[in-house]
Amino acid sequence: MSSNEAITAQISGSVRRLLGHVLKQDQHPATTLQGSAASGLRQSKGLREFWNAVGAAEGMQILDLGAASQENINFITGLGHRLCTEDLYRSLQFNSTRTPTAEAIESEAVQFFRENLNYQKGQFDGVLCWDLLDFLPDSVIEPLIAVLYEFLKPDGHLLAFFHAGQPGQIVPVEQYRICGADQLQVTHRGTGKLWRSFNNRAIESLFRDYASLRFFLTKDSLREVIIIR
Amino acid sequence: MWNRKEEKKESPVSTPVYTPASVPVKPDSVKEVPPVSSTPQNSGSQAGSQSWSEAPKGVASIGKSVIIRGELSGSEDLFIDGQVEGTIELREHNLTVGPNGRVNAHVNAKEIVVQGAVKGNLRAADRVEIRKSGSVTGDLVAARIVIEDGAFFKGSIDIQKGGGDGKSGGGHKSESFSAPAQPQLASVGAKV
Repeated sequence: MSSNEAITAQISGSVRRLLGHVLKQDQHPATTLQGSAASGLRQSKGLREFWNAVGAAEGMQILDLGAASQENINFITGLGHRLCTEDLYRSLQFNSTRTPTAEAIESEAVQFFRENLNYQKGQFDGVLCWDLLDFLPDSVIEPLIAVLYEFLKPDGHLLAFFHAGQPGQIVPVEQYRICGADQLQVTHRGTGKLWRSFNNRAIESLFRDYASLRFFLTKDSLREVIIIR
Repeated sequence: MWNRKEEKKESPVSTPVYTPASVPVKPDSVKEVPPVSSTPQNSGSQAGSQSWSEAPKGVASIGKSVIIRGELSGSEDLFIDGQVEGTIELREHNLTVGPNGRVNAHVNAKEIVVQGAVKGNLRAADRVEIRKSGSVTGDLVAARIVIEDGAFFKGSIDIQKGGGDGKSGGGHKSESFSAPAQPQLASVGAKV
């Protein structure tokens, strides 16, 4: 019985390895990540700067574009702010097996933003974008950034993370839970494809309408950027 | 034989869950939901029945085949496993939206627990709890908010104490930006 199980496990392991070899990195998404944030606690200078700027007064409005988490709700409402949550990644899940045209994606996205992001102009003091932009197609990013520009107050802050991986690389999609002013608990919530590799110049170009950007160096391959409206 | 024994041991985790349409569901993870009676169950004859996925004893319930459109109000706790559209006014009492529940309504209750899907604004004097299988699209106003991992929530959160007529914007601001991290499922609320 046990020897049969061992043989079965050995065979299935070999098949998995063979499949992994044939399918290249797609079968082992987590292992393709090079130095990105692993699950666990993570110090975040960007987050600290974000709260220093945004959290100075009570009653600010914060938009969290990540998945709703108890930790983020606790932290943000604990500071006396109002929190809005939009799990855009989950809502905007583009099926990777589908290959729509760029125009179709763009019109879909514009319609989605129009229907789902019903906020007023200048409503938010801060937006927590996390690493969402890395997982969105090119045609969706520009409309989203334009929408966020409208939602942010002048001098409002946006916190975004960017992976340093290669385009097409499969990396873990993380959920960022705020455990402290500069501390995040990073937990996996799936895997996703990096649509592009942003360098600093590309990020500056992406947020060209915004007033300024601040980059934070990190020890891992996740760059933190504060963008000021 | 083995299967039968396992069925008797049902654990809370194995209760049927609702997953939003956008999330793929493994076929084997969806189990048949036992029919929910709209009358209170007096005996615990259903082995392994879970109080939080079915109407608790003595609680008014709307079965999963029931569809209601309009204004729904009451002065007792309510369990909804069917569909309700309109408004729900329970004020001093609790509302539980069961795993099969589909509510498209504004809700006012003392405590609201969501295991199914709710579209509408929720106002609770005490707390709003969104379970793992739950999905809420709307604004929450409550003294405490509890969101399980995996739950879907889209909307705004206002923490209000004292029955919901307080000012919005959460609780008291801590002196520094070091609001204590709460364990999962810990309640959220303004500190006094």
